[in-house]
Amino acid sequence: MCSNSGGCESLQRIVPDEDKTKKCVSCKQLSEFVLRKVNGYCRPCYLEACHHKFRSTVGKTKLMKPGDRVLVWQNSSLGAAAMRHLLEVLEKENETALKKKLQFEFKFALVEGYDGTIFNDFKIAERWRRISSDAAEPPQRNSTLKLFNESLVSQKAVIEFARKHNFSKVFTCDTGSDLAHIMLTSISLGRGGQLPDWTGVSLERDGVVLLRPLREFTEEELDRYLKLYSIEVPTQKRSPSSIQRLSQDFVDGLQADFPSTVPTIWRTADKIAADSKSPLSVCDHCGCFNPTDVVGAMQALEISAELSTTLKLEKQIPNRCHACRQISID
Amino acid sequence: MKSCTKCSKNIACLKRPKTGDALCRECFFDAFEQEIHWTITTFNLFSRGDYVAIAASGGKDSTVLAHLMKVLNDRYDYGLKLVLLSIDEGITGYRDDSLETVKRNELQYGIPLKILSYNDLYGWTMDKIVAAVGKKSNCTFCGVFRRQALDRGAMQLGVDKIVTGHNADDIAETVIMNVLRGDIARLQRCTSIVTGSEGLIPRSKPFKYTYEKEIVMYAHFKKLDYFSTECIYSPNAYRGHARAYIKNLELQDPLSILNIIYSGECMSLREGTKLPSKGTCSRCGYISSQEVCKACVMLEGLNKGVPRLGVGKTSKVIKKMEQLKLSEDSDRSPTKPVVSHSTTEVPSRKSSVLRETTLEW
Repeated sequence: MCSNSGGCESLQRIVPDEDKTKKCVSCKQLSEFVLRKVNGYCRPCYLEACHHKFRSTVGKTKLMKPGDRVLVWQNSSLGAAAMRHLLEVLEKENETALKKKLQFEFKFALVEGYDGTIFNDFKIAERWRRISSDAAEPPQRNSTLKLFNESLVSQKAVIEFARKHNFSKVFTCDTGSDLAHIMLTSISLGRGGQLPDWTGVSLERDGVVLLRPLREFTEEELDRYLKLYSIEVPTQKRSPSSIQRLSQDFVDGLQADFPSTVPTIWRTADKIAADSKSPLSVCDHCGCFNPTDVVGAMQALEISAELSTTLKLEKQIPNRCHACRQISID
Repeated sequence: MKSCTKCSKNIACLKRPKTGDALCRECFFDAFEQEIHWTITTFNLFSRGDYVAIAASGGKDSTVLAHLMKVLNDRYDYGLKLVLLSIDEGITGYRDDSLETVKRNELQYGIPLKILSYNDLYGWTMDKIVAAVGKKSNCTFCGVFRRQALDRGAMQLGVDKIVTGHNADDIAETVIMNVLRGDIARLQRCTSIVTGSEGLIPRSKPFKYTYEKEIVMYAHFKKLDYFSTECIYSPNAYRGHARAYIKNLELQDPLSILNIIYSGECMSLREGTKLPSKGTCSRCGYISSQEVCKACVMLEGLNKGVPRLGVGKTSKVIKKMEQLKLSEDSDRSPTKPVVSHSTTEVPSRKSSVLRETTLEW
């Protein structure tokens, strides 16, 4: 039925205004390229803006302490390439002493198996660490759960490695676009109450804090950044047919027409917490908090199952959230 | 031939979209009806003796809802008095035809029908609004006006509750829409099964957990008389994207729809998040987060020949309202021409039309 409640009108396609895009938003000189369809930039101002944004995202978390050891979780993505470069630049700026110094030291890490193979020609240098993820994978019903479990298992391996080797922080290379994909995927998997953990600026597990310093950058912005430095990134493999892939295509499709889509999505995620009215439990598998006494969709599902089959229902695994139970059902 | 997973006697004639079980017709009807009964009783949607308005459009959702409300009320003796409430938006070739369906439903189910039109309430039909506004964003007008129209109709009838035919797919879609729009306030409300508690007549959605596909199957196998044409004015494109996304998710995993609703149910606002304050409209008294509610702003725009006044961001709308006031003041000097947007025929009604209708309730 038509359930239009109004309000979508603010999401109209943006018509670029040429007079505005011709000038750099910052210095008002001639712009060299246009981002988000409406903002013109010149090269120096854009690079400066990127470096500033990175610093400010890290800074405003107020979580970094002088002397922190940071493990930078790398993969073959665009975000990871940008992260390597941003950290290098900031490190160089340290020497000039014009800017505030980086107060932490960092090392790079790769999770073997999933993405790490791409870096084989990289001659893993002193600064690089390999992490093997040996968690046995349960057989999966579909690629959605398989992909999800892979990323969860890798995250656990990275955090475990960081904890063992005295890193207090982990930086991920998730861009704002990645987080928007993750947010929609999480909602579709029934992880709405866990959004702060999946898409928030930080996450704590076993005393290790995981930060997402690229969350305010969209893919388009980082792509431009890398191009300006002529850094090439291998074309990304498309995910197999899955909810993740649908969410990516959906967000990217909207983003092309409505450039505020990605920032709006991650800002929305920032305002959400698990339902605080009910007591929370921690899931054994993903470590997220979950409300325990929400009566709704899951009971409705149980009723539906009861009413339409005589087969016994699958046993519920205690101490797991609804979404993680799906992972291990087979 | 596969036999029914529930009764094991009959041959299964359908695969339940929600659970994937193969059921015979009778077992499907039984499961479908019992689920709605479960929803109604678990969430205490009604009290005995309630006078309940069923929002009826003649479409599949509301037709199945009307049928079920009648069946369940008789079967389980809820003790409800039912009435069909239809809103006539004034869309020729769409609503006039679907209202014929509702009129037949009135006879088929023996539930009295009340029709309320935009024309009576606002002095405008959707056909006239589209003529003035154009095809773009006319859905916004329809949505804003319908929301109030249902409440006004319900107040005129003196009902205790309203039920609407929103199904699980609709709710999942709304969750996604609100995420995309960053509308935290709506995101929080949209998965509540009962809404409108503050001073308004409570509205509930007995089909909150019912899949659209199953509603269609039920209507089909029960041979219910419903109207199945889309509105002739192009629906909102943005919502269309969200709808397509949900349908694709359902193909990947039918559980997705319920998962999204569950996600919505588990979310709450982070401490310290600001929400727009709720008040009432200074003109019509309807609930509103602004001084003047959206419907009044839109109506003012329509009546003053600036039809797009209420379309756009709230901050911009407020600015436009102020400009309109200024230009009105200067209009009083004889040298200035009257507002010059009269490209379409717009009746020069003042907002008194709204005041008059407001007084009715």
